[in-house]
Amino acid sequence: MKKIALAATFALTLATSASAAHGPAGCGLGSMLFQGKSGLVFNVLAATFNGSSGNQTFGMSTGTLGCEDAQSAKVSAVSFVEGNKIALSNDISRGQGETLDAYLELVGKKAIDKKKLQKSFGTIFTQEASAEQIHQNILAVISL
Amino acid sequence: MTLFFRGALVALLFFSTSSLFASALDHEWLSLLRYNAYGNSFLSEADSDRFFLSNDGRSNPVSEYEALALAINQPITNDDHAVCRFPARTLKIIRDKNLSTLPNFSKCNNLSQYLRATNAKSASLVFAGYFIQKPSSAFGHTFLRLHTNQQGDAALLDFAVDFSASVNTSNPIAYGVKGIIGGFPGRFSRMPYFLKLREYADLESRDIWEYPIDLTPQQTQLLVLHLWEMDQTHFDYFYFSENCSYHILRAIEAIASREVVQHLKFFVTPLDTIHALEDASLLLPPIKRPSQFSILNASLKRLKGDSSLQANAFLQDPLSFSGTLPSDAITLDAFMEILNYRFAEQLLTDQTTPEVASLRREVLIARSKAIDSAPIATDPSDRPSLGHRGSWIDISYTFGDSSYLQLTNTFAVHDFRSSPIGFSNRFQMSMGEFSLRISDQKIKVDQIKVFDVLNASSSFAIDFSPAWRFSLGFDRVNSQASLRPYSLISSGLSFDFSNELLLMLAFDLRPRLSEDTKTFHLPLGPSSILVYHFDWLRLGFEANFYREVVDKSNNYLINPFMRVDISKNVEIQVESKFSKHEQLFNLGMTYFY
Repeated sequence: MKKIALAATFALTLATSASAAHGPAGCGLGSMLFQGKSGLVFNVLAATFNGSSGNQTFGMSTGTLGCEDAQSAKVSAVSFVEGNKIALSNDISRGQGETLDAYLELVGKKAIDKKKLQKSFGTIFTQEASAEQIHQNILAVISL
Repeated sequence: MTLFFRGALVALLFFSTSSLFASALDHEWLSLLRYNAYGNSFLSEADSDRFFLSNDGRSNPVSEYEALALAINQPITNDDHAVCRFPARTLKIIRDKNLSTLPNFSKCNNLSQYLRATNAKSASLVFAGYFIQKPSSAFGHTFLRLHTNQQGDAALLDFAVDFSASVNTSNPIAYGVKGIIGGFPGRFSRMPYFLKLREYADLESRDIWEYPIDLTPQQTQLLVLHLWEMDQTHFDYFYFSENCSYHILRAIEAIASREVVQHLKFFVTPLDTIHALEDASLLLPPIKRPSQFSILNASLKRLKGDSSLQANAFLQDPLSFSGTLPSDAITLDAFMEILNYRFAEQLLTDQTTPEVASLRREVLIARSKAIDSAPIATDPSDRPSLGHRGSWIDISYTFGDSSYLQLTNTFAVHDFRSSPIGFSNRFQMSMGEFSLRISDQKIKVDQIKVFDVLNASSSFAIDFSPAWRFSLGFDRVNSQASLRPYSLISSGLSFDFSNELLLMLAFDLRPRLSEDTKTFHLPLGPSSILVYHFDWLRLGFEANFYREVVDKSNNYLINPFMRVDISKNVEIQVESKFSKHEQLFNLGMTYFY
């Protein structure tokens, strides 16, 4: 009863709307979050209720569908690029960085000269390039 | 002779039974299955029947132990076999019975697939910290990082495991009620670690702290297997008690053979779980991953002269920037971080507008042609667990125009007057404050604050956003007045003159119910907060001047105070309150627990 009374108090003080979870559509952050999660309304609710989130379509066994390679059970290179496009572009423009290092480790090219990628930034990150295209462009530069 | 055999049989039965009881009631078994003891009985926190083999398994650890001990002798034919579903428990039974043959997990297809992905070398407890500009971060959040990358140490190739509620309503009232009474199912889930970093560090601008968990390789393996078992159940999610941090802590406790959960309070915050695990010597010193906000701040601080002016012009409105892009790497780094911060949501959720995409590409191409510079180094800061505990009790004596003893308990998490170590000195998230007043041998409720949140962080230079304070509860206009509901809405500016100084100038609106409960009062007026933080001492004051809109009366409240740190969790306070109606002086002590 005490819990219900407390619940009612909190709920009534927060005249706002909650959000609904939506399913996977890839490996980017956009496919993982609540719609409108960054809005004030959701933030106030989440603050009060200890920050639960709604991306729990997946369990321990399935992992995050859309991110992992079915054979290796690891994150595929394209999924990695999709989920880290911004950080990867930052790193390649600087010729260094943790995201670039992780990507090169993933594709087994840790020893590559990263300056080569930096100099080819414009050809790797073409206008509106998809994750697949960026990945292929990087491999093409590496193979030069 | 017959008597001898009969005696031996009874003795064997006795010892085997007592051994069974010892194994089924030991800490490891009880923790693995999340049993809590209630007197002589047990009940598991797991809320799904699939988590148990025995019909009465949820409340009977012995029968559940027996059921699994029997089941593991059966040949594995599919993924539904008990060994495939409960590998960590199986290993415990094999250890208890000193069996030499280990279960053949390779016959469990799903488990084998999972183990290929999550074969961890070690694990960390990750704390996504507070960033009060984003209220969702006010309590912080914890989850696990499994160091699964076998080729190197690239964190971005690891997996994260977290526990959170599956929200199944869009109704705000239902959201609140169900969240507090356990109406949402909470589940463990696994995802690439980079998604968590992008979400918390980049999108929500929260500093990340990775605490390595002090586990042996065997314990790490057991943790991975135990997390697999979590797929068999859900746990009713209680926002204030059995929440994300609580269940992450219980998973660590289950495999570390330490009693941790019993040291937690009923209400649990992420910070509480970090303190509890540190107390149990399960956490090693953490590594910090700076948030996007911290990186932007650092990139701006290393600019000088014209570069600084140019970056500030860009910061104000990047899309209207009409100047020539800089050519040096340091300034271009700042330009990049400005875009990453200002447009984080659209950049990270694939909703980038053509204007932003085009401008960003232009900046990054310029950066790729610039001569290299040193990476951006962010300011060091204290780890969150270095600060005071998350709840506190105040005991104080008030004298002057009234005299009484005051006892206050606050559920969470930080008051701006308290030591800022491990927190920010420009934020307050005070929640669940309840005060009793004792005078003339009578006890009465003195004050209740549902919450009192203050954001005076120095973001104005970056965000152009105001400082603010929002409070809701029941209090008295003076010590003789009645307890009445109030709220405080305050907005203004904070100033970033030094890290030790908090200065906020604001305009307050403080509606409250009148003494006779028939009308509402609407006092409004300017307010200020000034606090200077020395090493172990804080001096400051709050000053408010109110004009009552309804009866046109004026009032003021000036509240100078001093706080002295006696230890990490004990502070002494001296303060006074001057208003039109009375003068009060107060001596007290705060104990954080």
